[in-house]
Amino acid sequence: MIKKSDSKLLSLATAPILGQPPSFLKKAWRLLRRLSGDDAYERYLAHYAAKHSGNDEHPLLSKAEFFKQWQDEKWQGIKRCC
Amino acid sequence: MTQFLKIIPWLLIALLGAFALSAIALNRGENISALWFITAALCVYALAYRFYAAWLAATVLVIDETRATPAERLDNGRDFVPTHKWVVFGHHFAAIAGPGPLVGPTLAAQFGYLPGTLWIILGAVIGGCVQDMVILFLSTRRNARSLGQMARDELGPLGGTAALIGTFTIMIILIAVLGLIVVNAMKHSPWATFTVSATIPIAMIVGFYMRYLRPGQVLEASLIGVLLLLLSVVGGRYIDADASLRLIFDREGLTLAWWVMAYGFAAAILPVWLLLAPRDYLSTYMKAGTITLLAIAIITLQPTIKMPAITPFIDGTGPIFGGKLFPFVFITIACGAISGFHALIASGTTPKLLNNERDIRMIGYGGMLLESFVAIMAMIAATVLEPGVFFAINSGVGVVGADAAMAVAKISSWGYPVTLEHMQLLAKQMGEETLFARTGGAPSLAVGMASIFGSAFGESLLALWYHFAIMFEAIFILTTLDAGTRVGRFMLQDMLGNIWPKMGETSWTPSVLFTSALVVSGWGYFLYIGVIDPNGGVNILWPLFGIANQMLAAIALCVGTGILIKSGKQKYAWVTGLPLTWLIIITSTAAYQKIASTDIRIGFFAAANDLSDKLAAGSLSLEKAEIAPQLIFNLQFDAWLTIFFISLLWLIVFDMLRVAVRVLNGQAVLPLTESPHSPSRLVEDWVRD
Repeated sequence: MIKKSDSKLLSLATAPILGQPPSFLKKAWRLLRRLSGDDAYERYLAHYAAKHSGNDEHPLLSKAEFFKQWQDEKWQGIKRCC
Repeated sequence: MTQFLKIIPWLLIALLGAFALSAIALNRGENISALWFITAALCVYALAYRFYAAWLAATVLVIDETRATPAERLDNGRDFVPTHKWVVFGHHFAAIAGPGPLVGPTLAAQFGYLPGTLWIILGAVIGGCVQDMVILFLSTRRNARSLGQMARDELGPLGGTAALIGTFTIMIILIAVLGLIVVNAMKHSPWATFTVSATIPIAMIVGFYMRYLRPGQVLEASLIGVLLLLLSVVGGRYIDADASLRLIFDREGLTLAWWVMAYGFAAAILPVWLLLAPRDYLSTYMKAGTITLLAIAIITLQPTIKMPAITPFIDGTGPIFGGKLFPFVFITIACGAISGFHALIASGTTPKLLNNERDIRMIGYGGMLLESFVAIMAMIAATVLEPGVFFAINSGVGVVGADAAMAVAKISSWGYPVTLEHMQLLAKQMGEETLFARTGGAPSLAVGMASIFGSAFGESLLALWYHFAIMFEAIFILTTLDAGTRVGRFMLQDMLGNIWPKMGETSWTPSVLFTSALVVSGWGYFLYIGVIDPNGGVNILWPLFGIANQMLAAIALCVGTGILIKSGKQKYAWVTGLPLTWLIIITSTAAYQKIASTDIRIGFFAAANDLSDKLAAGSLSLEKAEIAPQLIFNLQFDAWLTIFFISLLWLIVFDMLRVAVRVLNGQAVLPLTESPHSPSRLVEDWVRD
């Protein structure tokens, strides 16, 4: 189940990244977080709430568990070239 | 009328672009501002993107905005994720832009600034961008399949196998040449060696931080890492100044080569979170930051280009690498104009993130335009140096001699005056003992960047800027080196798994150790030879890499052309067919010359025979006679490798032509594997994230 602190993160994650939000700086910050994967867990929470909420087959992962899986998966296959 | 008004700005851009291009092309003997290069490039890019890329998207590929992409249909919140186009653009660009577009133009500057610049601009808009965009499109329509899978599905097993083998061999050559560039930058430079070595523990600290200390705090950890990196650049100066500490880092090329090999092996077997992932973060930030800074510096300072438009070395006698302007300028520029490697990212990796097909133009075509622009900046950084200085840094001791006074005399005799005092002063300013024969492109690029930055932020910081530039190049060269070794290991495990399934288990320790060692010894061999070669090694390895990379691009364009013809778009097949034909011509000519030329600076066999004749006659110095047998073997080996590359290329070209002829004769071919149309649920007003 999603804790209260997570739901705050959730609203952040679902906010449009380049929509109408307040300032340019905020947009740039969101873009940077998205690009670097800094917000990956928040996006996972949003995805979880939308697709698997209340589903016992996919228990909600903690941030550390999620990050581990996310990082290991990101590094399969060709990532860099010349 | 409104239609006419819309056209006016584009007419102006076309005029400005034409004017800038002619200013670059027709200038003889006068100094020319770097701003003309930037203007010409940006105008051509804008026109190509607005008209050619738009036409490709609308008419040739027939992009369908209403069609669901694999990211939408297969969305699993992990690797398939519909993503905002600017985020995909960032990931895509970070993946395709490596050291290639920096090194290639630097080496190609031996022909003068003009040939390289023209090819970087035109090759990108007609070749490289088209390849990236078409492959991205085709993979998106095929559930994000990889280039090798598409080649197998659409052309046949031959094409698939060729793509796989091509990818593996190009990886080996690429890593070797990158390793050599780093080694040459660190050779007898305690400062550079310390800074580059320090990147390894820094990456580990960052990795540990984001895995265990503060899991998932990627930006926080990266910021710490970037600060530590900058600190290591400054710290190198104190290491260099300390008589006993500097001895630890003052090393021969060969020792450093063994270190790099040990590092590559460790990176391939250590968990990714400890070294690869954090290093990749750091390298991406450094790359983005430095390239932006360089662009701002060039645009505001408008440095003057000192290199002539064309040098006499177009006749093939150049000191950096042998061979005439045609075909070697095209082979040398490599990634800045067209790179087969990009097809591996554009298929498989990027399509999994694509939100909508309409983003393909910006990410595929636009991403490569930006890469081409990076290559233009590298060309500027190389050509702002006095030509004499440029040649003194980049010519190997085998060409100009080991003695500095002799080298200076020889380079001046070519018509590019340079003095010993000037070189010594420059080395001192850069905090180096010597800048002679620092082949590989990285040191001369660093001197060029330092002099551009130095004129903006003060000359007293030149040494810091130089070592910052070396660190910047080394960190993403090592990122490609360790990621490449690991990918090579996976590919090898996959191939061996077909013979002995146990070997295919990516986590079985004996298999991990065995395949990692095999991959490292593959590129380690070329690196070792490159280091002991008195001509600098880069002159052999870089053309080999260029041929392999352009061959991979030809394979990708074969897949593109084959599919266009199969889809009934014969009349548009020239969009990939034209760059393909050009690539076949240049790779075949280059390969033929590398194999058959009687000029010992070009032909591998000729050089091998010449060396063995000298060895037999006893006319070699003791030192040279000792390494001669290895060099002879290597030259012959390289010749056979070139024969192998070119056979692979022609095999797949004939396979594609076979498919094309069958289609045109109405005979049966493998069916198209495009996934069926499924409407996108992400409607227009849907807030894209």
